[in-house]
Amino acid sequence: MALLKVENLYVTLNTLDGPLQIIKGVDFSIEKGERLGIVGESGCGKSITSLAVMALLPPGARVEGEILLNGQNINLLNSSEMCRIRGDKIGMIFQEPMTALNPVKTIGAQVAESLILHRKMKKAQIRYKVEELLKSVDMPVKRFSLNLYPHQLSGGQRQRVMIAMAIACKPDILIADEPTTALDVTVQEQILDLIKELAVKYGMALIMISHDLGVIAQTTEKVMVMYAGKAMEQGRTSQVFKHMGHPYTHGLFAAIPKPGSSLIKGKKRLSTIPGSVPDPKENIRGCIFAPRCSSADDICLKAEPGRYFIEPDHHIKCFHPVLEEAQ
Amino acid sequence: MSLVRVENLVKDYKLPRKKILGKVPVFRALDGVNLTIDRGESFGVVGESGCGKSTLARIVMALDFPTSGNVYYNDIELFSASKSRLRKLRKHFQMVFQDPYSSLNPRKKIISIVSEPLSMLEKSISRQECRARVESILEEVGLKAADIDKYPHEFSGGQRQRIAIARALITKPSFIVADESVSALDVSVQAQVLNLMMDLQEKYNLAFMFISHDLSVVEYITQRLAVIYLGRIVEIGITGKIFEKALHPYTQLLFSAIPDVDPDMKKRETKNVESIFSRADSGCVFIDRCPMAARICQKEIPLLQGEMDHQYACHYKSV
Repeated sequence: MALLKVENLYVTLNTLDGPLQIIKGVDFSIEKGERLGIVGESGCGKSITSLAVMALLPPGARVEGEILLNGQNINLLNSSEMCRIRGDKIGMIFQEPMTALNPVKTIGAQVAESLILHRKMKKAQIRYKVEELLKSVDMPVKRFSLNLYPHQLSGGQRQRVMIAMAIACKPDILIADEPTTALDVTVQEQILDLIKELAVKYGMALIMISHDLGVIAQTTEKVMVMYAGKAMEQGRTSQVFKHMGHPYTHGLFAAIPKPGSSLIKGKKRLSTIPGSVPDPKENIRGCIFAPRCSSADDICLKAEPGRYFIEPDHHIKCFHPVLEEAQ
Repeated sequence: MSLVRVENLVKDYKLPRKKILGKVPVFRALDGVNLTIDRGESFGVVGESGCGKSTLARIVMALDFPTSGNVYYNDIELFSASKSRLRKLRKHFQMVFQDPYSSLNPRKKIISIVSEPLSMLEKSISRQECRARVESILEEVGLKAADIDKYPHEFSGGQRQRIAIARALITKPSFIVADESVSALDVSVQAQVLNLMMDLQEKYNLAFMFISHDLSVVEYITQRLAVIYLGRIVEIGITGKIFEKALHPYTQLLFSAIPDVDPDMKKRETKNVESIFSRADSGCVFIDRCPMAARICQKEIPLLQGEMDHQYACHYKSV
């Protein structure tokens, strides 16, 4: 049985323009200790998917479909039952450590919060545990007192505190939503290494959400490529990144400048995906990528593509898979 | 003769006083920066946040004054020029900012946003002519002439950045500073905007100063490159040469940190080392993170050395 299985997830958010369907049918599953990446452009619904799993969507949001954690549909739980799962079974690292940490509480108190809530430990035990947690994210108490406030730390250090909070109860699943977007490359490297190392060490499953294909390539085993609220391509990371089949995935890879481009002489142009991501207000019939797709034809505009399996564990949703070797 | 020349630029920012009537502490954001940009050249500036990239951009645009040093535009000193002279010069250099959501006034129509530099710097222009120029420049950047009476919120991020580029181009400048101009955009849109910038550069023979933290974008778009660390240029030269073989340990650290898109490419183990040396005013700025720091690095500031088209500031002859 999969650790987490999401089936037919539909999320509708209440906006000023009325209800908008943001996630339009997403399925994925993750086994114990597995690392899944969710990649896509902004507004594709990758963060909303993770927030739906955590039941942290804004009020008025409607979540349909099944979210099975160890076989239990957590979508049906009420808020107090969900509180027992959040932080205990599923931990989350948010994008901006600046806003995700409480500025008026010490880092020690923030790391201790989920231990007090879920583990009912004694004070002395908690202190010991918090020190141990901060040590595991390379912030030893010798140099970083538990009484520091978030503003006294750098961005990378704040993100380390966030990680310590997320792993405090050794959750089964760790969700990292763009954990390094606000950081410099050298710090990003350290944080990614740390997250991966801890996930392996504690046998946690990891859901890494990022728009950066390089981050996904280096941290995950499985990947789901999302576009406008739908999963376009899913499979093993090495498979998807080398033998991608969906025209959108092809477009995404072609649009990033490749290392070594400075050595090529002459005029160079990046290939682009024409147009821009559709407004969720628009009601697109058929394949959601068809208006921007170069291989789209009549059928793409009329019917929604089903799954096309390239390999047993690698499928795309497209009528016209592009199956040449990636460069 | 180079179009833009930056000479010994130093910028100190005052910090809050620690003691009443005590000495005002300063933070040196730029420390002796020298560089030149030729006509039609795209020049990249990379470095981590807080290294002084944006300070450099502001000073080159004459939006801020340097503590010492000067910027020459066509051999005219920017900071000793009179106010009216400087104002006349401003039409020759323009800037495209990072965030297309906050750099366009949401309450103004596209025509007044794009024509603002024109109405400030070329006051004699008639309204019809102004409108015609805005229309033609919008088409130039891939928008429609009919978009002229719309408001910024009606456009997507990529389109807004096109509007920002149109605003920079309206005075027919020869030099544009793009400060992280594509980092807020999605990859597919980023590629469109990069292509547009390269097309415009070729068409108008524009010089670009392209500031970014994204190394692959910089490698793609620039011909020459400067790597800045804590206000000092640590490596400068032809982009291809630097990417082929980075000579400064900081540049090497920066390059090895980019996550590769190939999942099978396992990166080399280059852990950030903590050197036993601490930084002193008299020594190399990178000393406390450098894996090879030696005693000389603490005593002497390394000067730029190497060939003309690829220089680096390190005491080691070859790294």
